[in-house]
Amino acid sequence: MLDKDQFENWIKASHMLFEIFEGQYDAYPLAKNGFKNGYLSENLMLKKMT
Amino acid sequence: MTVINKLLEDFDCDVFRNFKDAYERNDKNWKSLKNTIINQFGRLVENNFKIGWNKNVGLAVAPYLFMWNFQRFKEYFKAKKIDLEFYFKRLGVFLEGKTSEFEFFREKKLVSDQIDHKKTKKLFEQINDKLKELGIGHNEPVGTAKLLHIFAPYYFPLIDNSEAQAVGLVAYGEPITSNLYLKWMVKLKEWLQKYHEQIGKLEKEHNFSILKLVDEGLYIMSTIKQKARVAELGLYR
Repeated sequence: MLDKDQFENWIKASHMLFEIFEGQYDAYPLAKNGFKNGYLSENLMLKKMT
Repeated sequence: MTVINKLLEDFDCDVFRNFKDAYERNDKNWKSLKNTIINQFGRLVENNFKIGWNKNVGLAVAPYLFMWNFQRFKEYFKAKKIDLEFYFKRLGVFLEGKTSEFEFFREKKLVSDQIDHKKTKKLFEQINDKLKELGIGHNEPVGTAKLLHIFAPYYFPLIDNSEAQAVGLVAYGEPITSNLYLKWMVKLKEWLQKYHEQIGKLEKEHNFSILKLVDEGLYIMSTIKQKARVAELGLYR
């Protein structure tokens, strides 16, 4: 069982790895935002990349 | 280029190639399969993702469900010709009919609220049945968990088959049923409660629910073929 500090470090380390290697394929934020803000009309997917 | 086009362009199907499968092992088959899938998804994007033109919630979740559940879509294309536009639009109509249930759960947090076994089981089974109907007649517990989670990200955890096996929820080849999903919710809640002091801080810091962050950890450790990502370090390029 991880102690509290180890748990925090595991979450942070996993998140960093996920962002580096999976982040560019991660459509999760688009769906999260799309639902929250009113489906496609205000979805991030419609904005231009900068 | 839009964010969705960039996502699609960067999406690496090869990571999901199953070399144990005779059909996918064949280079010609694999190339043809992945081109068919990506081209059809590209057309879905081109035809529907226009400002103020379509508010179907099925389309809003399409990139997420497609990319996060690519293993399943791969099977749909191998089994029969599937029309992704029809699939996601029909799914959207179904999901819109479930808005009140999603709103009920969206207000809740797994870590601090009671688990509503009866309502969760019913909703899980209804979504699974719809995905089964739209897909190839198989149960779709992984896609079901993904949809439950995106509509109530602080209440419904993500889980896939590799993660379920790695954490000890299922044996190899055993399917995730609604009862097992509930068992996962109970176990995860119990485990996360030990770290309640860290959770608020982590959620705030990363702007994601702890359920998504835990899934990233489990995914990195048990699901994705991390070996396939080693090439991205660029050592021999």
